[in-house]
Amino acid sequence: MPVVTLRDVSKSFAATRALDSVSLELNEGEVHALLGENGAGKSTLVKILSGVLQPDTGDVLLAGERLPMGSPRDVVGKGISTAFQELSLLPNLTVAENLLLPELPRGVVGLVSGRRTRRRASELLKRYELTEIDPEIPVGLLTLASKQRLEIAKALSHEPHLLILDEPTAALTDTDWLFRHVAKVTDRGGAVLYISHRLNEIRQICERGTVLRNGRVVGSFVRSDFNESRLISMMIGRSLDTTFPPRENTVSTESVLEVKGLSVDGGVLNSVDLTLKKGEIVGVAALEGQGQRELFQSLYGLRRPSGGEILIEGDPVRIRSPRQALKTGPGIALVPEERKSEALFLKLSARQNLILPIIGEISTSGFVRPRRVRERSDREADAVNVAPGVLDRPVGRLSGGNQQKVAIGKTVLTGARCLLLFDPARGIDAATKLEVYQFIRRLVGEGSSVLMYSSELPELVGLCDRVYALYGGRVAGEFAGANLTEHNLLTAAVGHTMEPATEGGVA
Amino acid sequence: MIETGAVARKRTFWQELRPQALATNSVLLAAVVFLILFMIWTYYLPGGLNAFQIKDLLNLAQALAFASFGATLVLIVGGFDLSVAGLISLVNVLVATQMPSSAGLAFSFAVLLVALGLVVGLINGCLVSFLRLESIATTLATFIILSGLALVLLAAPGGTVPPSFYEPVTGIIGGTIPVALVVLVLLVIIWLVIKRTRFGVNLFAIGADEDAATMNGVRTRAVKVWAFGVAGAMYALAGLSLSAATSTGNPNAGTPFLLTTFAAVALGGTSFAGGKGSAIGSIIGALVLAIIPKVLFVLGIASFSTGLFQGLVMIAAVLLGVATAKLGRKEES
Repeated sequence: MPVVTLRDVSKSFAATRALDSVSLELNEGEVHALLGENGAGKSTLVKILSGVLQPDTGDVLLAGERLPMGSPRDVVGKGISTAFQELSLLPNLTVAENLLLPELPRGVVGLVSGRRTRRRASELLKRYELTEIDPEIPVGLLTLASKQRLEIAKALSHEPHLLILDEPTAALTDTDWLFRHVAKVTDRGGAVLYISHRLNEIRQICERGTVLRNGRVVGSFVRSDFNESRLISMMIGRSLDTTFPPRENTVSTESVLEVKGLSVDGGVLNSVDLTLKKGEIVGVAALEGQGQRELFQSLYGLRRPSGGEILIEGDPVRIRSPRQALKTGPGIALVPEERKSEALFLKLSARQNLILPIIGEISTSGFVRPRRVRERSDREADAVNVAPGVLDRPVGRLSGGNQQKVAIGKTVLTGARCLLLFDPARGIDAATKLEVYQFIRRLVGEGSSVLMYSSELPELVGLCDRVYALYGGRVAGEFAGANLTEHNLLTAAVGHTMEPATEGGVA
Repeated sequence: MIETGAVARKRTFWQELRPQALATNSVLLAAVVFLILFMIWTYYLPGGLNAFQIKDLLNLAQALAFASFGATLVLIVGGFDLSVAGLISLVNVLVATQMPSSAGLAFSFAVLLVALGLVVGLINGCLVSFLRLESIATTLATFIILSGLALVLLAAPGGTVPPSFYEPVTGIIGGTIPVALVVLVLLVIIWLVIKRTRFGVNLFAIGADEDAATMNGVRTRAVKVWAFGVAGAMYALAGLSLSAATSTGNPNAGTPFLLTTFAAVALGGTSFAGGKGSAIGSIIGALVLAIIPKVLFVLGIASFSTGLFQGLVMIAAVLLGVATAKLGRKEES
């Protein structure tokens, strides 16, 4: 008996199709896995099921009845509750208040009763074996692992017909606690939608599963035919239709950037070692939230690491700010993940954006010289293939591809020769991707070095000279040459230990 | 965000009074600042402290206390409300020109004005939460409209406030307790009650993270509308209180409140980023701002330097917070 049925659910954001007629049945007493790479549409699906987003078309049926859409409160009332990946806890409220929101218990006069709230919360914490958490402290004081447990306990406490767990073990080290409580939900006939990158967990508790890719259901499995390699292939798909520029430059032996034992508080990064040589493109492969963001931030002075060393051209350095990063050694510059909010000034023209890092260079005694602005920005726009016609338009009006080219061009103009690119080809069309790839290759040909993270494995395989896989804040493998394959990368990135990587083991 | 173990415990009463805790408890800090100023004032006061002196101070502080109470609600929910100044002007003008002189009718009229404030606030709230307009821009517009309306009704300072209204609310009960003191105590109680309603908890939830609050099933839009609504009612009360204290009408009466309201709120430690704050802090902040001219007077400093000293005290309060925080850290290590 299906508890929840999705029929042809589609959802688009602007021009991107996040979900493309997805149909799914979640049965009574079943743990159902939802698998897919980053950006496959899993989060969108969770948001629709939890009432945060409304689908463009399609229906969600709960016990044969149409689910009210777009209201988390109503959805919880109907018996679907969600433990969100990004956690929905409020840091300034107490544990007890968070557990019981929005219907805090009231006393005789209608005021929230602190005593009843506490008692009810203590009961829940006891029921879910979280007695080590004090119900009276603000959630902001808890460790990440405790927060995650609390988020799950909160979802469990509604005794839902459908429990959605989105990456429930991202901050949990042991799964016993979670699995025990998931089993209680299924024992009383509830369904569980289990989203995880960790195939080991899925093999352990999921009866069935569905694989998403590019917003579509591309396959499904039952426990008896569980096969990790096949699932990984399904997740990647076989549509590598972009041509990558040839690796014709020679990588020198001198290292530009060396990281030794780099750690970030709370184990987000745990003793990471990596090197980047002159003229090399080194990739970082990782699923969402494995520490890649913190790695790039640490290298660019946006985050203070808790341990380890960063060596630039062999000398240990401490990078405290982006300004300092730009001045260190060959100059370290970052093209950030959120180009719209972090890299570009959307209301300024593409031209102004491009010349901003060198504004001092092209000014005379404090005054900007318009002619020199024109010359320099024309030259740089040409290098990154931005058509001259769009240069005077506000950069916010340009296509995603042009925006990214301006963001990269601007970073290169700083003169930095050690570039950190965080997912440089995300959300841009295939043709522009190719231009970006060629530009990156040309940069290293001229002696720069590039460290790039990408959420797309084919990109790492096609473009990089060497790739590190990160998993749980540790380097889970290093791949180059013949070993640099999508299969090997994904295998290491999901923390899969059965086929040992040829170089570097799983931590 | 502080990351300590899951075993972190709630602080006890005495721990609250340690320097490090004091720094995080801005209400207490504001109270300390007020007490210092209060002691200076009473020490130099010729003839010593009596009920009339206190009545005077509280009547002065009351309007600001109401105004900053309202502003605090909106700030906690993550908004910004500038309509405060416009509503005070409008209410003041309405009282000075339209209020009936018989006691019963005068107070009914006052209730009507509070309802007007509520309605204005609810309109602000609807514009902000349903039409998703920027709260500063929206309430700035409301402020301009209300001030303009006040000018239409009364072009120049003038009009009279019926004694049947201002005498009872600015007086002293039984020769010992100023009415304003009772009102301030009531305000504190109202805040403590609001904090313990679901509405109150939801205010803090929305201010911390509106999306997360929605995911938790909080009806974020309705709560925001009511936060603005209650704030509007408070501004109307501020207008009434100001009218009683000045017993005259002025179409620009509210304008100074545009800045002092937020100064009082800041002194009380309410975050302008939302999710954190206390109306009690704001009330104490209002008291601090009101006592400064009195302290300057007894010290023989010219009254036109009041603004200068109010600003300095604000900076001193902020510095005190930072200094006690440092002190606390040293003590811990």
